[in-house]
Amino acid sequence: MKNVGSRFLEFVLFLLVLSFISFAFIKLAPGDPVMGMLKADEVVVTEEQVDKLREELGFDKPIYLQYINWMLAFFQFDLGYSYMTKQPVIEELFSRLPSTLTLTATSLVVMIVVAFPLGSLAAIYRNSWIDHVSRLFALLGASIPSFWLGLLLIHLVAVQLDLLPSMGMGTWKHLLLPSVTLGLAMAAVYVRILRSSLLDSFGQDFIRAAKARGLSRKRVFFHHAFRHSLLPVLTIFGVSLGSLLGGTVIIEVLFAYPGIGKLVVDAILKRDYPIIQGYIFIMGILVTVINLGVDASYHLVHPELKRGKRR
Amino acid sequence: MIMLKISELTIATTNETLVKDVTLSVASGEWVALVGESGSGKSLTALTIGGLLSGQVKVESGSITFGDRDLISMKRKELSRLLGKEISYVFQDYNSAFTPFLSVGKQIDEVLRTHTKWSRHERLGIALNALKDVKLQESVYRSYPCQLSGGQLQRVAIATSMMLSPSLLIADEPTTALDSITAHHVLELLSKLANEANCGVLFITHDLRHVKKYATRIAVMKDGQIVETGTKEKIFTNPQHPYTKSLLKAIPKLNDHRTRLIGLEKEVSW
Repeated sequence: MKNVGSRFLEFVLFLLVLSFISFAFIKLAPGDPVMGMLKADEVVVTEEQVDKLREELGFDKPIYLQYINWMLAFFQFDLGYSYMTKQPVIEELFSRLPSTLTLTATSLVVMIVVAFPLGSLAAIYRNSWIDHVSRLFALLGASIPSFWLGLLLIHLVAVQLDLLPSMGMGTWKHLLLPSVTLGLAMAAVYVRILRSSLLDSFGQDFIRAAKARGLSRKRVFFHHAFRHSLLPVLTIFGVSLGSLLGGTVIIEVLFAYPGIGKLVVDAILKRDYPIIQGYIFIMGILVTVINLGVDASYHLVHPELKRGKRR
Repeated sequence: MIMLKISELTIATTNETLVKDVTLSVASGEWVALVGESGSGKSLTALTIGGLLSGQVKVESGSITFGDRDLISMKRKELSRLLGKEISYVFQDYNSAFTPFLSVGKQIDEVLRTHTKWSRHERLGIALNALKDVKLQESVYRSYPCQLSGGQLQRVAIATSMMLSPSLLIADEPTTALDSITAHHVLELLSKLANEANCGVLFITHDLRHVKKYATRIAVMKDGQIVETGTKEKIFTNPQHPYTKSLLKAIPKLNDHRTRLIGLEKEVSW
């Protein structure tokens, strides 16, 4: 219970710091949302109109008051209204979140389907052709930016071969190209992590002991070595989750996939602060919650961690 | 009846010979001690029997037969059927004898599942009985390796090795990492179970006190070669090789205690 309590406290503190920093940074960034909202580039606006809107939005108050007001509203699940669409931020974000989470999940599936077999085979057949292929794959994955890979896939699969749609969403076909783009980029990293982690497992004395008990190769691999090698993979997964969710932004824009990433890019271009702040906040919560889940999964893989010490 | 016969076994890496022309045999019910200093090639010889050599280390020449089957040319799958059932191992490092994230019971059960067609209920009965044989409580079955002491873990290792009544037990320094009282209990259990199963034991150690108590025959190894073999009586009463003589001299004797203390007193200036 003590552990749960301290975790919760950490979580709340983290959110406070995150909200303050994001709020302050956005306020300090150049550009004026009021001018954007009044379309100052296109029509002539008077000083009065600008001041009136500033007052409406509370921009005339000191920053700390704006922040406190925003936080007070947040505790009532009110993240404000989008400056552009006039819709509640919560509604805007939550209408897009499922698409992004679906894309993230399918990308993870692609990553697992590619990285786990390739990493395992590279470790089992060390220094063989498959190991070289995995090394090349990792090198390419690290050097090719995902937006370029996405463009390449759009050109080849969607334009030249006309097999899959290049943009939008709706069917599973729309998910394929963005998921493969994101999944392959991630797989390149995990292939090498899994390979080195498995090689470390193979060298463990308990693997030799398992072999000495006559267990089949399959059993030794899956039940002993592979499971042992998952711990570093899970750790890195927890750490890189933020960049994965952030990574969807580029892919969503590229494939015109209406996820939360695309929404926030549009919001940044239009200086729609409430959407940006809401995005940062919700992503912060999401990353933290998923990280807690990753922590919990340690105990699934290594149940001895929660058991007592040596007698 | 000879169970295990190692003939002129040479083990080497690409640039170094580690074990040279080792010839050794173990008969049913016999306790053969392979003694020698660390790095003399005892453990390598033992690992070769089960095809457990890793990486660059390879068998260069020689043969290992178990009954009438040649173990070196045997396929991995066929060898796996023997390991854990007919040929069992107990290793020195009890911490690495079991996979840390699987419960002890699960690891005992997977050995039974691999080698027998018994039902889940039968397997549980055999496993609990095996634990009882080594004087461990049933609760150990549900424990994780990190929850057990060194002595307990080594007893679980012995229980796992002996529960299918193997013909050959390879005990690679099973007591080196234990304190002397625990080591004594562990060896007593090992000896009792091996006698009951009429199992041949290849006992690797550098502790001659244990050899004196349990072994029937002794092979002395130095720098990858066997320098002397013979019955326990012959080796202890009439050692031939200078290395064997020096090994025997190194056994601490109870009646030396006083002399050593007096010697020490003279050396230390108060």
